[in-house]
Amino acid sequence: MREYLTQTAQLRQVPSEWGVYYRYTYGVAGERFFRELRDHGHLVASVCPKCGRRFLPPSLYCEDCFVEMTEYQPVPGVGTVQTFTVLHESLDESPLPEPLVVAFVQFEGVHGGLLGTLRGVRPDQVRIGLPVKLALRTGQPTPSAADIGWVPA
Amino acid sequence: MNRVAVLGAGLTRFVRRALETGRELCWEAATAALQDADLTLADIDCVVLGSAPDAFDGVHMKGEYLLDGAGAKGKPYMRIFVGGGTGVFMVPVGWWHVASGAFRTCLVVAEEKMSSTQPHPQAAFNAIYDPFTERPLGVNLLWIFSLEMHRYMKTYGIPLETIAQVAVKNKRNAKDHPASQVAGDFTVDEIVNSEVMTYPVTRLMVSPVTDGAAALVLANEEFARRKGGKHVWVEGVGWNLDTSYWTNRDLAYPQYVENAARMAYKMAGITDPRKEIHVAEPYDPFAYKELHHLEGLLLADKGQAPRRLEEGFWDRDTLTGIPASPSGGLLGVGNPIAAAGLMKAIEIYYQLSGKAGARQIRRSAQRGLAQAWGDLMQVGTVMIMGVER
Amino acid sequence: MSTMNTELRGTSLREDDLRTGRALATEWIPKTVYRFDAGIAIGQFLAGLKAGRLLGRKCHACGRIVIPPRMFCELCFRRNDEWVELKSTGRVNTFSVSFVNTDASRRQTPQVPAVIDIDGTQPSMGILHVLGEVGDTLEAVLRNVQIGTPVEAVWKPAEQREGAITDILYFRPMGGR
Repeated sequence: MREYLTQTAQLRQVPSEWGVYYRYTYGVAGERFFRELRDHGHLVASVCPKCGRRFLPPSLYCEDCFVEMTEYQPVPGVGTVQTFTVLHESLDESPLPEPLVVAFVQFEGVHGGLLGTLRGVRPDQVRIGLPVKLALRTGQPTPSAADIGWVPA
Repeated sequence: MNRVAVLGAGLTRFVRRALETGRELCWEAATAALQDADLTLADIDCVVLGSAPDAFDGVHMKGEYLLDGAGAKGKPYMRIFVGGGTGVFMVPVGWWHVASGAFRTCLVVAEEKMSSTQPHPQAAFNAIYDPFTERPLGVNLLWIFSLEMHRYMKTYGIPLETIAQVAVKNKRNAKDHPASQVAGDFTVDEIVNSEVMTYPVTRLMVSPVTDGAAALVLANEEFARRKGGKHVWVEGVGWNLDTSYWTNRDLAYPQYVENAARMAYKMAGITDPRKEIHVAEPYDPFAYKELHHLEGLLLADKGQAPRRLEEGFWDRDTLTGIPASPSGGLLGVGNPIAAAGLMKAIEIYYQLSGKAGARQIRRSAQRGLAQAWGDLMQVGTVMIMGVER
Repeated sequence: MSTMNTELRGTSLREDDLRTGRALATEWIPKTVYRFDAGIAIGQFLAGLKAGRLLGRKCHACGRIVIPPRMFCELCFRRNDEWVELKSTGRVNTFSVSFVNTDASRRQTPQVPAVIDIDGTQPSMGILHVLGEVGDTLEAVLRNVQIGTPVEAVWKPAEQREGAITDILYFRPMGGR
């Protein structure tokens, strides 16, 4: 195999757009989670009747016991940062006006956790183990994961 | 090679747009199959999942995304995709996992959530066409079917009204299927006079867009015997693909379906399919396809499946013929691509084990087959099940 | 179980449920554009179209001339041997009368896609294209063309051709209607 050209701009190209977009239903568990978030301002986890674990985000079924989870419980108010990263660029590689911290947060006694932007603290002050609480971005017509944020507790 | 038995099956309802996410649909079907088999997830050694393009659910690496709903967490797992052929092909895939001796049991799952694609899933299909020689012409998925259907009709002189009878039969059969989406009583006139999409295809000859999932539990002989009872066995599997140069091929006959069928018949020791196959679920995404496929399956001579249809040979309550699509097929139950094919395979399991309820065929049946087709008219997938004789 | 379970799970939604927010959903528009390389065979094929010529490839081992062209014979599984210019005439192998656009929206006047077996290919090889000058209603098209009708390509004028399958505007029945 030989490489004919390395300047791709010189190639005749056929651009092809797919012309589709997507609409994703939240599903049974997702509906419950996001409605609780929008209507009551809190996070809920689903509880497995067999192993007793609490799952965040909640799910219709326990991934190990494979039984249905119908019970939901609110998650403790304060969680801890399990890991985090600091973003300096946007998705299109343009620089962000300010560095943005994204943290994965877990809660005591709850399996799993959630991602969200962490504000109210300087990036160089963030550490694994930092206690944080939910800071909701409200007022959106359709609740979504983008509503979930954290601030130091 | 180990013998492979079917221990149970499960389905979700087939609906135009489901509330459930794809994962939740998988769990609903998988859990129903486990219950039917009287097993738990702990009894399952491996999982295989079939789902057609990622572009339908709109989730990249769909197989990985769906797996915990399919019970595959921490287990050996693979996701398989051969377009529309996927659903039936999942039985051969599960079969080789168990027949090889590598696993005692296999949970086979198929899922599709096409309603995610907007404005319409049809647009996602356009990428199947060649970007240079085909797409610039303004292609539509329906072209494939209407071009093939027209050639088939013309080659054998088949009237549109005869083809329409497949839709009438299957939509009526589906009235007795609990999962069904588009069952009902229709007349030939209503089918023929429904909106022309791409002549000769009219709207009611086309299976719908659907969300749904299906699942099956397979086990080796030792495991199956411990469960007791009379079992349904996977006796033959076959699959075959033709080139993607579909315009160079004979569109009046699906040679690759015949190739897949011969492979399955050989494995099952079947030398006279018309006598030894007692019930069939040929893939029916469009009305004419059932007939096209019955010929490829060697259950009718070339061009003769329509005549047999008119004779009642494929009717569900025939005593002397071979019931075709007793489930109601894709035309009646619905078409969540991969799950639809598995639904047809599952119907053979129900028919052979006497569990088909109101859909139970009248004639006796010890062996049956299901077949699916897909890609750019390329793949034939076949599976044969049988009960102890 | 003595029969299949008839209480199946799965919750049906209406389009309305999503529009009104009775059921929750989120949307995503993928921003993906693909740029395809034509490859060696199709690259040459497109160059031929720009020059007003229809090209195929011949395999000396099996003797087939294939169109759309490819650099290897998929049956003999060897590189094939020469470019062959074909006449841009053929016969209709099959056709459809389409009232549906590429985006699934409805058309008022039909488009007539067809597989055209190109003259001079042995065994006969078809290409996908569209028919033109065959009428703009279903009835008219079915009167004007049948499977087997000989057709000829109608090309864009040379200065408008760009090296694309659309350099052929359409195929029309030979000898007029």
